Amino acid sequence: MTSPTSFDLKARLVAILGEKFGLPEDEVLSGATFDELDIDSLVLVELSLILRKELGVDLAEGDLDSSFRIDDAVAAVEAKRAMV
Amino acid sequence: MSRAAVLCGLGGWVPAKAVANSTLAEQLDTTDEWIRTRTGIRQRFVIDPGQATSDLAVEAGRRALESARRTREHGGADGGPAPDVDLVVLATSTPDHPCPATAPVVAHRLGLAPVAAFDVGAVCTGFVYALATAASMVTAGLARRALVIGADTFSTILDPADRTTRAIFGDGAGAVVLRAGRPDEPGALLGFDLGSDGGGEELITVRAGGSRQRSTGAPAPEGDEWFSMRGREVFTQAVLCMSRSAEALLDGIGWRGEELDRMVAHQANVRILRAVGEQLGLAEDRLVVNLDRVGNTVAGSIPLALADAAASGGLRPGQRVLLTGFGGGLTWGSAALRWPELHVEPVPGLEGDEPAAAPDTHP
Repeated sequence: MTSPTSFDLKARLVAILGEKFGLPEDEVLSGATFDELDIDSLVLVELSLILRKELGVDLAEGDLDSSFRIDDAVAAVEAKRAMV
Repeated sequence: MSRAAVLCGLGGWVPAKAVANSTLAEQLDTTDEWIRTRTGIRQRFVIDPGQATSDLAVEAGRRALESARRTREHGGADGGPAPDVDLVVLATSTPDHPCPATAPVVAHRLGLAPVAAFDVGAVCTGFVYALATAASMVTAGLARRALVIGADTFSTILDPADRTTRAIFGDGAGAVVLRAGRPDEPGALLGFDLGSDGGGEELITVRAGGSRQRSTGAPAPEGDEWFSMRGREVFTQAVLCMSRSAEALLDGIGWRGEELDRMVAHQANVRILRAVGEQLGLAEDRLVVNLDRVGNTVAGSIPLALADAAASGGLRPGQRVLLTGFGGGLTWGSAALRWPELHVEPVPGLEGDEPAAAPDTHP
């Protein structure tokens, strides 16, 4: 069950990955892991910094893992948001 | 009117030997594309066997002094009478020797002895710390005119087998001259923000070679004599610390982020510079970038980028300029000024090779 908030968050994550890192939306939504999307290790660090600024979530190095799919990343950010 | 330290001379220097990414790819398991996309760096310079940090510091210092002399002759930012330099502050974490400091020999070789001369150690933030120290001494009346140099030769402390650090770091130096002046002049240093967090000491370190290891009486564990860095954690901390420091300083001097014409951040990695720009809401054309041609030159980085940009028209009189750095310690710091009229010579080895506004990191 996806809450409206996490739906918005997922859309925002997909948009950032497209705009900032050139990842096609259909590939991000395909259920592929970040590893399988062939991003380099700094992209998740950069993504964490953008989300920290936009959402005020305190994402540490390693909170977003390259084994994650987009839904895992949304869940990780939601968990951090719940702690704020 | 209160007294201020005013920037009135600037110069940069790199050693003669350039090392292209393709050369590193012949020696290590890496590629030009990997290095360019991860860091934005295309080449770096390294000293020859037998050379030392003071050799770079002397050349950069000489050029900054010459810049101050020519600027004064042309009636620019340094139009007044010309007292001699009476202070030399050198930022470095690769001194010629563990003891003594390197600044006195630099002052001696520049013919400035017997001036006050000492080193400041804050790794990649070293230049900002040295600038704050010298500016404070000028403002307090302890010095009339200061030569502030940032110089490092990290090629001497990198593990030859480490493909990451060898791709990132290069040797280089930059220097500025500060004089006593007024706070409303172009070139006056308008404020500083400095900070540290020793809880992050392990993120950027050379483990062996200091008192902690030498007091054991045992040889250093294998590899501990080399520089090491925890890259991804450093990336995050660098972006957050430089952004917060920049914001604190802007707030302190009453500049809005959108009024900033140029940000000259420590040249660590073009992706760090972009991420700082993103945090501060700065357009990419506000970022001064020269790391594509010199790599990360540690304490040399900010003044070398300033000299390169000033000589190639990337910095113009009247612009609102923010300097910000982050480095081992952890340490960070920022400074701000309105860019003055300066006569600055191109950095030999970099002239005619225009800084790339935005090196392409996405192939």
